[in-house]
Amino acid sequence: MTTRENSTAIDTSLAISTRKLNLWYGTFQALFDIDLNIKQGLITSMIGPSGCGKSTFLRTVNRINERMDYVRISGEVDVMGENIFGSDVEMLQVRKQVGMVFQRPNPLPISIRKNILFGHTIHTGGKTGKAEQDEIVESALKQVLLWDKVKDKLDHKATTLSLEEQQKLCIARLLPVKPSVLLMDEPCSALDPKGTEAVEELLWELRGKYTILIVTHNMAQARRASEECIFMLMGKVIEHTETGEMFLTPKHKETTDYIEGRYG
Amino acid sequence: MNSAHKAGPVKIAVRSDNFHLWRGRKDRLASKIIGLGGFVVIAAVLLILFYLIYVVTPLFLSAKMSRTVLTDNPAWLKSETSFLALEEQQQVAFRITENGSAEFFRLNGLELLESTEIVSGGRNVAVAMGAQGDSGLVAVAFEDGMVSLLQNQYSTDFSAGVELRKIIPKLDFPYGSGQRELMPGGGITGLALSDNEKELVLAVAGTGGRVRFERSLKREDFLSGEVSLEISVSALDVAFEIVAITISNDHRWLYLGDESGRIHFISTANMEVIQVVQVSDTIITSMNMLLGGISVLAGDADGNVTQLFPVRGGGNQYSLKEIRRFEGQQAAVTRIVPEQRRKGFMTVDADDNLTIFHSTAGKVVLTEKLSGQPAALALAPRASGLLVLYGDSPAEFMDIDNEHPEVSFASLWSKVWYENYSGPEYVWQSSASSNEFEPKFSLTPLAFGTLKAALYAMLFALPLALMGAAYTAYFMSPALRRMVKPAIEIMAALPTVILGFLAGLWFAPFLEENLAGVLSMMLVMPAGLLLFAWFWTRAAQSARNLVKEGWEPVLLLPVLVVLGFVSLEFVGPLQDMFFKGDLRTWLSHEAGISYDQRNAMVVGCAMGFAVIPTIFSIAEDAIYGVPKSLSDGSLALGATSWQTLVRVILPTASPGMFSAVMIGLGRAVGETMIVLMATGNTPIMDWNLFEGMRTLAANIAVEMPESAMNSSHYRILFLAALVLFMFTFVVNTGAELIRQRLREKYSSL
Repeated sequence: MTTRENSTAIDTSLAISTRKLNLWYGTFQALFDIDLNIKQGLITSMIGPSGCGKSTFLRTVNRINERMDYVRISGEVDVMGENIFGSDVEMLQVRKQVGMVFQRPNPLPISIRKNILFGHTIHTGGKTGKAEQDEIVESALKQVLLWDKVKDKLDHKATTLSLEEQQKLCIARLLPVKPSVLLMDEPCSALDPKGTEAVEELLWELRGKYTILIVTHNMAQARRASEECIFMLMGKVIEHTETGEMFLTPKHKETTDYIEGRYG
Repeated sequence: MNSAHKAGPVKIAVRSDNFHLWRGRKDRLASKIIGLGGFVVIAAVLLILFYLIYVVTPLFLSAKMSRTVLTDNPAWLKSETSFLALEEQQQVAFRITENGSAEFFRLNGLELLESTEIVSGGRNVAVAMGAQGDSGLVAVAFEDGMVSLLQNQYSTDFSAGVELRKIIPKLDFPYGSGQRELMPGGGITGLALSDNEKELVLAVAGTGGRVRFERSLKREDFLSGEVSLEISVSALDVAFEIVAITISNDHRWLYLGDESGRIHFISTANMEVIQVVQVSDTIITSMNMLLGGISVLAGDADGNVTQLFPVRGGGNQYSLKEIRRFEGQQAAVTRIVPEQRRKGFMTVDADDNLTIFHSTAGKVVLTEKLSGQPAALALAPRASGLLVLYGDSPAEFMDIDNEHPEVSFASLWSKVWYENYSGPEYVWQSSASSNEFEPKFSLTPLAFGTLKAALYAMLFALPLALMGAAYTAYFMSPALRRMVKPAIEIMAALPTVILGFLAGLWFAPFLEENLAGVLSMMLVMPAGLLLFAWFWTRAAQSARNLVKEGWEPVLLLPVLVVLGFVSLEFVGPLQDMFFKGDLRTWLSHEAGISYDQRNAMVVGCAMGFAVIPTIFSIAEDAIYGVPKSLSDGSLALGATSWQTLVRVILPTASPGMFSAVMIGLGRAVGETMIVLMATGNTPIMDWNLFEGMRTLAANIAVEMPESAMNSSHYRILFLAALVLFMFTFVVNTGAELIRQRLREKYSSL
């Protein structure tokens, strides 16, 4: 599982690249001069102890952090070659491009079908016909391997599903918006081992079609389910290499210490 | 950012058994105290409910009567009785015998106290009739056509203590002991007497359709205080036999009943018949005035009693209208006896049935079978005792327990045709200075006023409070929110008496002077704010960067002030153009909309101001409490903040927002001080924004201090409180049920 990138043909152009990205929460600086290049079509994992800035980085790429007025950002972030802070860029376009999955499954308290169609309806104004909508729902659910389980209860409330299914649904509802990047903030931390396995399988399934950036606390997961790995500490990127390399021959002492469980 | 926390080293202390025992006790004690607290709250609410019901119940209990047969007729009582009266304490009675004696006797043992011959020599009495009310004045017509006026009066001697008080009767001749010859030659069949401060009026009817009407104007000598009478007599001869005669208390109208069931409505000014009203297919058997001398009660041979009174029509013309018909009896009505302090009356029919009615309530209060046809009958002034003399069986005394005859469902909630009104109406007018007043206890205008006040308050408060809550919870910068929310919540602590005071004494006159300005403000402000917001979104990025996201409301403050100023100052030309210079005057003169200074708009704003903090605070909590993960999820899908708010946040928060609205409504319905001070408290029924109202709560506050304990008025006020209680109970229960369903539907994670 460590040398996967040899087995797949990957477009190596960059999905996300940042230059001198700094972020402050009030007076507290959470990110320091982040320079990252995340390749298209790969699964990249981010590891690091709590509070190292992984989630903050994710939320910055999705521009969700800006809603809070005490957040201040400097530097540049390009998604698919475009600066997301550029004055001519609509925040909504960024969010369409970049889907995000959160730590706790957060389906909306409406039916499964409506959850899937939520993003689509918002962007199209809900003018699509029923047949097309059915197609969208089916294709999204099939992509996340949930179709067979829920096809008979599409009108049930999404919150009645198991946590694993909810999380898959949260991934599925991003797909009709046609994002190119999927950000996942510890998507398995609320799931049991079986659910975790299922979601990891799904990630592997989606690989190539989407660029996936996944934050995890679970080093085994990072090792199993990603091709490149980023290690962050105290708001700084310490190391960014292929996953296999990171776990076999880490270049920095901090990385070694973290991987070996000396802190975090 | 991540929820994982670093766990510090945990100290595990080993506690003694005593500690656990103590902790267990504390736990149990705390749970008991909390349980007791809850129980006490529920018990207190139930206690209030039960107390209200306890006070209200007697209104709806039926009247009762208990009968006592008095000692068998002493010899002196054998002579026929022409007139019988009972004094207030129900100890002494007064009668006029057929042979012209005035006698006082004690009820207890029927002991004769005093007997006086009205005219020495003794002459037979044709008719005797008491005056309206409880003055004790009696007119006695003798067979020879002469009429005497006398008065039975009573004083109480407390020298032996309250329990042994003695009633001292006194026969008086207030208008002199001389007689007046009203119908020379005799033949008097009917007599009517009315006395007020200005004049004394006597009307007699005789055989062959003769009517004599004597009016005595009272002239009081300034120095001696002696009253002299200036007498004038008018005569009228009609072509029918008169079976009944009465006069109204204002002495303007004379009513004659005939043998073919008609009432002749005659003006006393010129003795002209204005109108003849057919009230029955049979003969009129009995006629009398209801207390107050406005309504005529006419009984017929079928047992029907009809109430009529003159109604003023167009051109100041009066016409006699049939108001209501009482159908309680089967046989001919032989007597109609009005109560002396209330608008009730009793009738006796040919089958010896006694029936008590109440005119305003339009209902039969009580029916009782008498032991025979009464020879004479007297009702005590408070209508709580009845003395009945029979021809052959022993006299009876009846205790009547009839405290609240004026209350019926119809008199509380339906339209009632009150005396001197031109038609049935909903009126609340509970008391006046005189006993003769007809109390009007319609709760409908009060319930209406309550809803009207609440509606206008909610119209003002809901948009502001809910939109404010949505903005504060979802868009506002946290730092600003920390200032705004407590500030608005402090508004709730403002005593409503101050709000009411400001509304009534400052805002109401201000509104009257600047009506057009304030109304235009309500249009200009929202429109101006939207316009400003639109310009702001189009403003250069550099300008927008000056104000951080979430701080925009601060920018609006000067805009609001300017808009307000503009509305108030520059509305003049518009007024000149459309409303002839002044909207307020235009409304009342041109549009025909009446304008009270303290009106529903003042109340709507003041009470709206009072309920805004409640609604705002609860709704804001509900919206703020929607898990952030939900809004993040929606935003991450590319929804705008607005879409997220409308599609995700508001539906999820809807149960809480609904509660907020309902609690606000409950407060608006029960609010007292503001409506009390900011409206004229006129119980009218009109949705007009520029007229006032009287609410149930304000009515209780206004009238409770002046109502006599346990009177009908007092109990009806409690009924109003009960209605208010039930209303809030129903609204809150309904709201809670709906909230539960909404919560099920939109439960968050």
